[in-house]
Parts: sequence; C-alpha cells; structure tokens
Amino acid sequence: MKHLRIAALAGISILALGHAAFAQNYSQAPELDALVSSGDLPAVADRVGAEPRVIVPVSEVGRYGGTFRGGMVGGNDRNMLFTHFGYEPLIAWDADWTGEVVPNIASGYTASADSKDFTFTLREGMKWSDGSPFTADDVAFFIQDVLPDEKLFPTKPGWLTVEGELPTVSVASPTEFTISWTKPNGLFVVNAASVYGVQLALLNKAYCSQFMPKYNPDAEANATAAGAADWAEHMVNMCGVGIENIQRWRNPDRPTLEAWRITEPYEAGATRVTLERNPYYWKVDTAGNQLPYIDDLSISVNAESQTLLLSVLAGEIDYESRHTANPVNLPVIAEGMETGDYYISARESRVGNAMTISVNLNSPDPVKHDVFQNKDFRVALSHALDRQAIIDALYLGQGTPQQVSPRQGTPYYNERLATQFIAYDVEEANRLLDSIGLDKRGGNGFRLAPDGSPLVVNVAAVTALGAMADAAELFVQYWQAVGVDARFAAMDRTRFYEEKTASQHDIVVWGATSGGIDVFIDPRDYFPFSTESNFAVEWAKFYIGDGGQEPPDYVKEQWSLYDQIKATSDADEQAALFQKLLDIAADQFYQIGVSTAINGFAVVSNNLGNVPEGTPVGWIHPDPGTLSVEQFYFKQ
Amino acid sequence: MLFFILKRIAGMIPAMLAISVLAFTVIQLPPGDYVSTYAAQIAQSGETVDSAVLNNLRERYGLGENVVVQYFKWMGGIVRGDFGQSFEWNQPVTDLIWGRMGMTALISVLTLVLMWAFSLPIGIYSAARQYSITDYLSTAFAFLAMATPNFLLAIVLLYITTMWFGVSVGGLFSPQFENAPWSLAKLWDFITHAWVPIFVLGTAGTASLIRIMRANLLDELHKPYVEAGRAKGLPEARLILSYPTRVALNPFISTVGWVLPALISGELIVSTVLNLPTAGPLLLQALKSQDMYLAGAFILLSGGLVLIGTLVSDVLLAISDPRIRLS
Repeated sequence: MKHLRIAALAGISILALGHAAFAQNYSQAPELDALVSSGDLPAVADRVGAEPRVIVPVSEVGRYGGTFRGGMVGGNDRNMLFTHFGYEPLIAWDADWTGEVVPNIASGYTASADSKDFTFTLREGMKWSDGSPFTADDVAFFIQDVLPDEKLFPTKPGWLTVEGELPTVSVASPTEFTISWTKPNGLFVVNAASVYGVQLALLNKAYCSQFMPKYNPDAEANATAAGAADWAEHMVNMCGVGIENIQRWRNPDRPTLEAWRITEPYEAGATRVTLERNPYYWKVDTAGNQLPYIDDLSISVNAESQTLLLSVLAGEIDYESRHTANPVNLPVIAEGMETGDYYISARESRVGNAMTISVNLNSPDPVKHDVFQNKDFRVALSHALDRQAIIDALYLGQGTPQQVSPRQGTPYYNERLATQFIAYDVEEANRLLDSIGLDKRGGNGFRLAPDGSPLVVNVAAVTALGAMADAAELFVQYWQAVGVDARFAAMDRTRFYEEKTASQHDIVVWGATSGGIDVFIDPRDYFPFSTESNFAVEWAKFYIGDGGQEPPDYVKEQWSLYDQIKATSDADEQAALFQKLLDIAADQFYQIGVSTAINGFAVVSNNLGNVPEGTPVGWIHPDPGTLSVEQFYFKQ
Repeated sequence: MLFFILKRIAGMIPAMLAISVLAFTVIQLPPGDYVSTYAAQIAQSGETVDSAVLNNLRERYGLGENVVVQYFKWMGGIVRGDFGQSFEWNQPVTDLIWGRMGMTALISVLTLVLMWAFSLPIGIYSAARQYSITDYLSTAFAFLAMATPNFLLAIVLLYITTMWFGVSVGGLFSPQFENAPWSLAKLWDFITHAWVPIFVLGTAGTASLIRIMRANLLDELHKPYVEAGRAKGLPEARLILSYPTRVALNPFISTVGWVLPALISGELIVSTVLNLPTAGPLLLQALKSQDMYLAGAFILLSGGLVLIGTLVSDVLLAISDPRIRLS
C-alpha cells in the first residue's frame, strides 16, 4: 500500500510552477470576446494576472460553453454549492487526497519550524470577480476585523484558535502575509487545505468593509434602511461572512474568487439558483485557456431527494453525488443509465468503518453504567457478530471485516485496533459474558444484570438511514443469540440526536467519520473529542468545557497526546503520537466496527468531460470541489 | 346581506385563533427542536458541527424559552404582520410565504374553476340521460377517479413520463422561465406545465362533483313542477336548465366550502411529489426540519384560506337562495 505523502505537514514550503511559458498566449471563452472588444472588460491576460494557477486537465483540454445542471434539496442545502463550486482555499488538497498540499489562491507558503508562523505568497495581479485586486489586505481584513468580532463570529472556528488565542496577521507586501500565534498550531496547514480553509480568502475588504461601523460611519443606518436588525446582520446578508452561511450564496454583487458567481440567489423559496462565469477567474489550462470551460450553472432546488432522483433518471442532471447516490438507489440508477445518458463513477469513501456501534460508557443507569464500562462486555458483543455474513447481506460482499480504525495504507493505521476481537466466536462471547457476572438468566432466557434485574439493551438507529437500521436489526439478533436482551429501537433522526446528545442511549449505530489524514481534524471515533463521540458523550462534554463528567486518566492522556499533536508540525512525530493515542483506544476498545468503508458513487452525464474516476470523498475533502470543477466541460 | 357577511367574518376570528393554537401545538409535538434537527441533518451528510455553535443558535432563536411565552411572542408578531424568522432560510418568513401561498391559491382556484366547468355539464347531462351509454361511461369514470388517491396519480404520471418519454413533468415552469418576470411566453410555459397538477388535483373532485350534481338533479327531475312545465310545452333543454338545475345547484355551491380545503391539503402532497413551487414542499420541509415559524405561518394561512373558502360559499349560497340570507 502506498503511504501518504504528507509534505504539507513537515513544514516544507511549496512553490508555484513556472508560469512564464503561458504568460503571452491566453485565450478566453467566446462569450467574453464581445465584452473585451467593446471595452467593457480588460484583455484576458490582464484579468488572469501575471501568474495564474495552471490546471492540468484530467483527460484533455476542454471546449468552452454549456450550462451545468445540478440539484439541491430543501432550503438549507447551501453546502451543496459549497462542496461543488465553493472550494477555493489558499492551499488545497490534491484530487487524490494523498495528503499533499498544492498551491491554489496562494502560490506558496512557508511554515516556521515551531509552527507558530505561516507565511503565504499570493499571485501577482490576481483579481476578484469585480476586477478589483486581490491582496494580502483582504486576508488581513478577515483576521483582524471580522474574526475577532463577537457579532460576526460568536463562536470562533476551532482550527483558528490555539487555546482560545486568535491569530495575528502581518502584511509584508500586497502579495505576502504571515499568520501567527504565540503557541504552535501544528494542524493549521491540514485545516487550511480543507473546506475550512476557504474562510481565509472569502471576503473582499473593499466591498465588505462598507458594512462595518469601523470603516463606514453610516453602516448602522444603512443596515436599518435595509431592514436588518443591526450592522452585523446586514453584513452577513450582503457578504456571507462565514463559509457555511446560506447568505454566501445570496448577493450577486459580492465579489468572489470562485469560478462562477451567483446570478439568481439561493433565497426565499427559490426553485432555481443560477451562476455565471467569473470573467476574472485566475486559473488557466495547460493550453492557456482561461477557466472555467462551462459558461453557466443552473441548480434546481428540489422539494425531496426523490424528485431529484427523477431528474437524474431523466438525464436532467449533469453531476450528482450528494443526495441520490446511495446504495438504495443504485439499482434504479443503473437501470436508467441508457435513457438518462449518464454513467456511474466510483467514489472512494475514506472513513474509518462502514458504521460504528457505540456502547454508552456514560449511561445514567447505574447498573448499565457498570456493565457497559466493562471492556469484556463490549468484547463479547464484538465476538458475537458474524461480520462476513453481515457484509454479504448489507453490502453485497463489498468490504472486509474490521473494527473502527484509520485506514490501512495510511501512517495512522493501527493493526491491533483494526483487527482485535474480530472473529465470530459465540463460545468466547458467552464465556466472557458469564465471567463478568451476567451468568444468571431470567424467565425469558436472557441474561440478568449482576444485581438480578433484567438487562434490556436498546440498540438505536435512525430509520431514515436504511442501512444503519437494517444493520441494527441484524446486530440485535446476533446479541440475542448470546443471551443479551438487545432490542432494536427505530428512531426518528431528531429524537436519536436528542437522546444521544443527552447521553440517554444504551447502544447507537451511526457512521464512522475519519480514516485518513482527516483523523487529525475530527478524531471523534478514537477518543472522547466532541458530542459526536457517541461512546462517551459526557466525557467529551468535559473536554470541550460544556459540563459533562470527568473521565478516567487514560482519556486525559489521550487528550494530552492530541494537544502534543497540535503543538508540532513534524508529520512523523504527529503520526507517532497518534499511534500512541490509538494504542489507548485499542486498550479501551471504545467502539465496535463491522467492515471497511463502503465506496460511494457519482452519477455523471456522458456529455461531461474531465471527470476523474475513483477519487476519495469526505466532508473536508469535498466531492466534486476537489476535482477542479472549473476544468469540467461539455463534449457537445 | 352586509350584516350576514359581517356576522360570518366575526365568526372567523375565534376559529382563526383556535387554528393558531392548534398549529403551534402540533409544531411543538415532535421531540427536539430546529437546532437538534439541524445537527442531525448535517451530521448525516458527513459535515461536522461545533456544539458551541449549536448552543449559540438555540440562544439566538429563543428556543429554550417557555412554550406559552413563545406562542404569545409569535402571535404578537403576527398581529403586526411579522411572522418571525425562518431558521432554515435565515430570512423573514414573510419573504417566503406570500409568493408560495399565492401559487398555491392560484393552482387551487384554477383547479376549482375547471372542476366546475367539467362536472356541471357532465352531471346535468348524465342525470337528464339517466342509464344511457354516456351516463354509464361518466359513472364508471367517476367511481374510478374518486377511488384513486391523487398523489398516486401524480407518481404514476411521473413514472410514465420519466421512464417512457425521458422527460420529467415536475415543476410549474421550464428552467429558463423559473426566475424570469411574467410575460406572454412565461404564461404559455405555465399553462403547458400547470395542466399536470390541475389534472392530478382535480380528477377526484370532478368525479365526486359529477355524482353530486347528478344525484341532486335526479331528485328534482321527477317533481310535479317539472312535469307541469313539460306539459305546458317548454323545450326540454330550457326546462331543465331554468328550473330543476337551479334548485339542484344549492348543494353544489356549498361544496366550495369543503372542496377548497380538500384541494389545499391535497395540493400539499401533490406539489411535493410534482416538485411545484407552491406552499406544499416548503411546508413539508419546514415541518421536517422543525423550522417552526415557517411551518406555523403556512398552517395558519392554509387555515385562513379554508375559512375564506367557507365564507365564499356562504355568500354565494346567500346570493343564489334568498331563504338562507333572510333566515
């Protein structure tokens, strides 16, 4: 297996490719020719700047034109736009997610050896979509004026704070700035290249500062005139401010660095959102053609994912991997390939497992609390599962039995964590359960708790997520076979979330999260990290300072190891520290896993070119944003 | 007459208040609130969310407050024309509802008019020519259509057009007209799309109105005054249309009162299936995500439309029948 190359973590700087080779001969979309000749738009060489980013097309140099058709579902699907067209960080992950960081908005960066200072170099002559220059001041505006503001950012993004401290920025020249903390921020580069990193270069100072009283004495009055409660609300409405705010897709006047700019906004009951080419986009292909190839985007807002599925089947969607690409729909999508004129493109899921079974270590019931905290109980439950049979039944045999662990082939893979207690061994399960005081049986033949009371274990899963609920029903049968009175609790999504966030659950079945380089960003499956750490929500609350219960020392040791990881930027050291952290996770056996992650797919129109195959997906490495959507093109 | 209408309108106020209490209670019934639903939703698509952000949202939306306090705040706003904030869209509810409710009302009224246009003549003909081939045909159609749930009709229609013809019939406009201002071309585009929901929505109602009209008229046709008219030599068509039909219309008019609510509630489901830009999909989405003020506004306004429908039918009845307005 190929190991991840994590040059980015090692504090090595990256520099842009030579650009001189293309500098003289840029071409542009035909629709822009008239605007240039009439003088409404500067020449293409002036628009792309002196050193545009050169994108190597996936298959071939494309042709200009066409309208991309996509689909959203509901009123809060703003992250569809984000994951498709809004992934423009300073530095970016490569499409294969090898861990390598490539230049994007910034042409390069250097990290200080102690991971406290990060210096970025910007592209000469790069412009916003309104033609105004993009400079270090724009990034500085975000860090100095926007991020510290209590109204605009009531909760600060965790990756931008080090022990509560916000970064400072110093601008050396219009194309060079340095972001610094007084303490090391070893995960800064990893985060800056993820979706979160988009935040740094989202705001145009010239446009957005007009909404702040600090820059414009009339800001408050303008906000009132526009019907907003205060200047901050007005600024969010006009400027988006946060990467995940729906308002980011509202204002056609807001300058952007993205390949397309909004024309019909995503607002009040919109049924279609449209975007048009950004004539100042700063990327070109290897032949010097200014990107994007595709003229316009037309995104329908659907009431239901089922209506979107119908559009997909009718061939009215060019790319869909977000709402309809789940295994349940695979048969009907496969059947409709010919009439819909599309194909199914594999996508690799990089999470730590197909699903996680979390036994609540913080159960409020004192009897269950003691049983659940006993590691042998969880080991017995693990041995009671016939994973191969479950994989065959649920995933048509795709996937290999495995516990919840970072993926094999990454530096974070921990063999003991991944493979312990994986054998299907009913005898061993029974022996373990007998040995921990669950040897007495009640009238119904199920095991009694050590104090003689019936031990009913509810296994909750969300019905709307078909596979999880199906799996939970299977698990229940296997556990009943070893005498555990397990009962399946089908739950509505919201109730499920309420219960587990309040730590009222016994066992929940949910998805795993991170398995590659993202383990550093969201390690919820490996120690009590956030309220998403379903096996110990109360301990996690203690960690994030939201009440909770104080955990035993081994958890605190994991927290201290994670702090050490954040304090260094040496990739090898980080991996070594993470292995120590995983050893504790393996000792404690927090969660039970079933199978390696099951791959996903995207539905792609046959007419759409330059779409790679088999690329990895994940929230922080979004699909198709990381595939350079700007170089997608229509063959006809 | 004016007094009659005023009395009716006065009766609508307590009904409206009752609807508002009911709407608010129903919205509060499911476990959790918008923020927990939101957290569950985004976690499902693999996105991460900070619990500090969630707490902040809950505080900002005032979700921790007492339910009674929330209700009175909500009602207090509505009296001043402020329906509150839609959590999901991050916009005032008022911006969202009017366009969508307008579409819902337009589709419902169009359907109602077409239902009458078809059912009235067919019902009359069917009664006048009882047990003829046409009567049997219309009866057969009526029973079939009444027994078919309209959402099923929508699904079958969608399936056939998508699988056999490769086009999806959802929506009310073609993509190029969706965000365009009204024009003749857009109107024509609307007509070419709107027949699907109108057909789906109106079929069952048309069928039942045919049956009602037929039965009403049959009751009248054999009364002595019809015989007397016929004996006096009145032409058959004029006889039937001028006398028994007018009497038989009474129950027909009062159907407006229940056809309109049935249309609106049917419309909610059908428009979700057909992906129409009406209130239905937004209401469903708001209920699913517990976007309570948006859902509340829709339920309240739908209730209001039903009350208005009842008022219209009362007024129409009063106009057509002096006995009602004088008693």
